[in-house]
Amino acid sequence: MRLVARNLHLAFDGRLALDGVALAVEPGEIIGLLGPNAAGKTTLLRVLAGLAVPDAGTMRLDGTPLAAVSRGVRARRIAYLPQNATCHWPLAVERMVALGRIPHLGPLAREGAADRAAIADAMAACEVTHLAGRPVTALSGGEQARALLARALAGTPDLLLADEPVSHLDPYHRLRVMELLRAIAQGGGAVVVALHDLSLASRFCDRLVLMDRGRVAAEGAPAAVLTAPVLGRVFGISVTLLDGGDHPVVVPRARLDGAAREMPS
Amino acid sequence: MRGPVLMIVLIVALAAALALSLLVGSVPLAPGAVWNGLLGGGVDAVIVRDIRLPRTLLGALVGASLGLAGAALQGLLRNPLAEPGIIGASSTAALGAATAFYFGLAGSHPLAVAGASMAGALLAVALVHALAGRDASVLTLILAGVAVSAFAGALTALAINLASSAWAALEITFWLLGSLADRSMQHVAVAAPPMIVGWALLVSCARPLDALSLGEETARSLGVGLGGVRFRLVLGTALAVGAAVSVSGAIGFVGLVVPHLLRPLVDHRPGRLLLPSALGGAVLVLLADVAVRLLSVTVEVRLGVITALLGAPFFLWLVRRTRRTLA
Repeated sequence: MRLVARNLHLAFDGRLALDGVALAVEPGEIIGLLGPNAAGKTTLLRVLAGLAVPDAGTMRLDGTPLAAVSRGVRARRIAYLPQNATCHWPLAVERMVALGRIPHLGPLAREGAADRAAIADAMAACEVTHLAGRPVTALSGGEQARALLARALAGTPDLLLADEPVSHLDPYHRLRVMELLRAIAQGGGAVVVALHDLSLASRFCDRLVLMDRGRVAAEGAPAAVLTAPVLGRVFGISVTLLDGGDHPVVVPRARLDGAAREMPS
Repeated sequence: MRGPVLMIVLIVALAAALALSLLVGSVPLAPGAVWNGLLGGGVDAVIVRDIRLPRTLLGALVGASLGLAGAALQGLLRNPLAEPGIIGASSTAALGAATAFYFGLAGSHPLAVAGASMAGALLAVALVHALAGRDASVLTLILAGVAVSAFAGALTALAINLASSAWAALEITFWLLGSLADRSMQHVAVAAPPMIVGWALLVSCARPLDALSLGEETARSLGVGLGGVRFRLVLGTALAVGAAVSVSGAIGFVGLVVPHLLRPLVDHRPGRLLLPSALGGAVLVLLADVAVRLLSVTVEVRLGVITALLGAPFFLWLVRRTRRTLA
């Protein structure tokens, strides 16, 4: 699976949420999508997932224009985990995970052996097998995050788009979910994950895409993107970078004076 | 309870409710006489086949429509407090009927009221869609439904207000309270086809409703065409509920209570809730109508009054319980 997006533009209410964004996703890699609030991370993920249609730009999935890929095929190949994902009914975890198989089921077909195997595999990968019969709504935050991730994986997608899947989790569960994402990439899948935790992104992502006001401000290996000048320009903060090397740890220190971070209205 | 067991229990309950509805009436008939009458023999054939059978069939059809539409809309809106009236079809159907009474069309043809009522329900679909648009959020859909309901309610009140006589006003008011009395097989014939089309549209949305458990964005990412699903649900509800209101008047709370009672028995799965809710709705309306016949000694107690008397306290309990889970 190779997804290439070029020159994406999308305007909301006269403001450019995407202003010429390009992105290439290769199998086996985790791309961390960083940037201030309203930088366009969620919009980019929604466009890649087919939930928003760009005003301009091209997207190709293995060379085929994404617009020509049917809704069903796209759903089978690209899974989307929205920000603040939730389940509105107290479904049993196993039933909720099974919803991920919907793109693979014919209109009247019931779940077959392949579907049940994929559901079991996804639950095992996300370590929620022991919770199979529990109502999703009764789980802890960390358990729920893993169960929702298992739902996305049950469809055996080539590409997983996850919008801030760890933002409400404690450090232990952040690491646990990021390890799961890395395992997906090691298994040959591709992951694009929006994150606010710069150090976590540095540690787990192969490549970072730093967005700012609808554009890609910086892109590359963690050490190339997470530099004091770049972070100062984009986030308006001064930082201390620890641990050097390929995966720096980023400690935000102070807001920079005169950094106008509010979006022009 | 496993799915098949629940369905068997409900089918048995429906059969019992159908039998009870045929057995109970102002003229006491022995079960044997009812059976003979049903087969067309004996002196009681007129009572059984022309009075009790259409009433029973309508009770089952109306109840199934209300239960099914309630379950479907609760799934669409992901809210256990939703009911079929929320998209405006019930109140516009009532307005259609009130208009027919107001202009004196009720006497012109036995089905004039039903026809006007059905037309009102379809008008609701058009209005809600024009107001909310195809890609609108669920919230916009509800708001459009509420606006349409409020306006239809105001116009219905106006029809009562301006009625030519007190009797005419009373006729509309009484009709609105809901009843299955004095209905004929003609009513069954006019209500059943739109109901069945509506049921088919609603049941076809079972899997999208399951997907919607995860929210609209995720459902769309699973390949669900949300605009089409929403249209099928709104049209299906308007057809089924519009036809129900057109032959029975307004019967509240069935579409709210039945799906809510049955939901835990299908493990909260929205798609699996549809058929049991149809069966449960039929049972509830049939039993309520039997109660109507037992309670109506001098004046007919209206069916809508009975369901509201049973439903409203339940609703209070529901609100209380929801408040507790939210707290």
